[in-house]
Amino acid sequence: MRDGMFVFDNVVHMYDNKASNIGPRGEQVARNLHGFGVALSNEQYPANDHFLGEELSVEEAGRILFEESETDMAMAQTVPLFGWWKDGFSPARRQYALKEAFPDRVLFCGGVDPLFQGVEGACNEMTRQAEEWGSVSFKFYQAHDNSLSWRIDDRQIAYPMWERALELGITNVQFHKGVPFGTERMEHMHPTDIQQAAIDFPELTFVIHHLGDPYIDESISVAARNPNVWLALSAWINIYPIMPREALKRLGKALMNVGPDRLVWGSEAFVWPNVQGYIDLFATMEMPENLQEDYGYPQITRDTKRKIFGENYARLMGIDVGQKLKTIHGSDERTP
Amino acid sequence: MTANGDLQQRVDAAIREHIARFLDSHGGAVASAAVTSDGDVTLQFDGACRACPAVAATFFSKVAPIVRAVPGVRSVHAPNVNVSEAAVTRILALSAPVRRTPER
Repeated sequence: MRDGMFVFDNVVHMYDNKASNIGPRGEQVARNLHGFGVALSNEQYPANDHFLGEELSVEEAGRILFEESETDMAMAQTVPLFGWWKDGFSPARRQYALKEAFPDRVLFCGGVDPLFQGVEGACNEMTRQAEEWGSVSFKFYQAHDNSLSWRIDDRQIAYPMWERALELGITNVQFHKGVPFGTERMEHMHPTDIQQAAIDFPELTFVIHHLGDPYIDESISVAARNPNVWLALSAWINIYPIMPREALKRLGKALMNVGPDRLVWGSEAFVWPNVQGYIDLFATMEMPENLQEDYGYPQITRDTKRKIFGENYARLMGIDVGQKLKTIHGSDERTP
Repeated sequence: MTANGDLQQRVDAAIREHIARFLDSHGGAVASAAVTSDGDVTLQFDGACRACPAVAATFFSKVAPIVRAVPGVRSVHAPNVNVSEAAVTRILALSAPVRRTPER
């Protein structure tokens, strides 16, 4: 809890960069990812210093999230990038391990890829992850090396997975958009392929991560026009220490056009381990007067922070926040 | 018909009479989504208005004054209108009637 606000981190990654998990050209891409973290770091908000060549332990993840930060709940998200990593950057089994260690506080988000596993194989693995490991959402990465990619609105490749998700009772699917790690083609990371799928599957919510950076305007436009498209602020708060003005403009544009009800908090732990530092930043963030004046962006009110910090994603996941807080802390001490 | 329902009907009637055709002319729409017993009205923009960059201008300069003029309405807001007070002030200044001075 932060100042009486429920904190639900939509995305943390239990990474595995051990040599045994690195695939062809994967070492360079892992270094690229670490370099991205370093570029957006400073002394107070450092990049992870034991990222390369290692996997994160459940104990360290639990300490960072639940002992050293005010995070109440987190979703451990699989990263099914099977080209550069043999079992993906953040394997499903490691995300499940975190959920098993903290069953009241961590949700498991599975992940599959129809190009590497085949459409039927991906669907079958979705079923296994849901039935055996309790997956409540799925994460997808569409752009791979050598121009390999698939589209969210592909009726042969993608729609069977959306149908399977709904059959499993899973109502939200999530997408890495923008933010390339290596030599993926940028057009394969564009968010506009969500539009037709969002129309065809109105009972499924599609979550765009990273505001689709650099396709921020497009991501916001897609979300603004489609009520079942949400935006995850993952890797957004992480740019704030280096580019505060840019971060505020991105948030302001999302708030103005999408509103505060479909934005969710994501720390991107454990690329950057100072989870509490980012919570502090957002809890005290204000929209500068000149951005309100010049761009018309709304103030970041307490109500907005409360929704983004956790109540929005809890609503999407069907979690009774009061009951959950009583289970975790013994009492519900939220304040308006 | 409850008091709320009656007020909601009058709000929607005012929208139909004064603004609906203007919005419909370019694919937009607005209607009341909820009205409380205290007269607090929540509007829902739809169609082209749902994500229009100019929805705040439409709301504050055209729609809100019409709805506020309905007897019994205390406040009016729309969830997809999220702009700063500075922007509201500017919209209202731009949309205020211009007082023409007679030519000499």
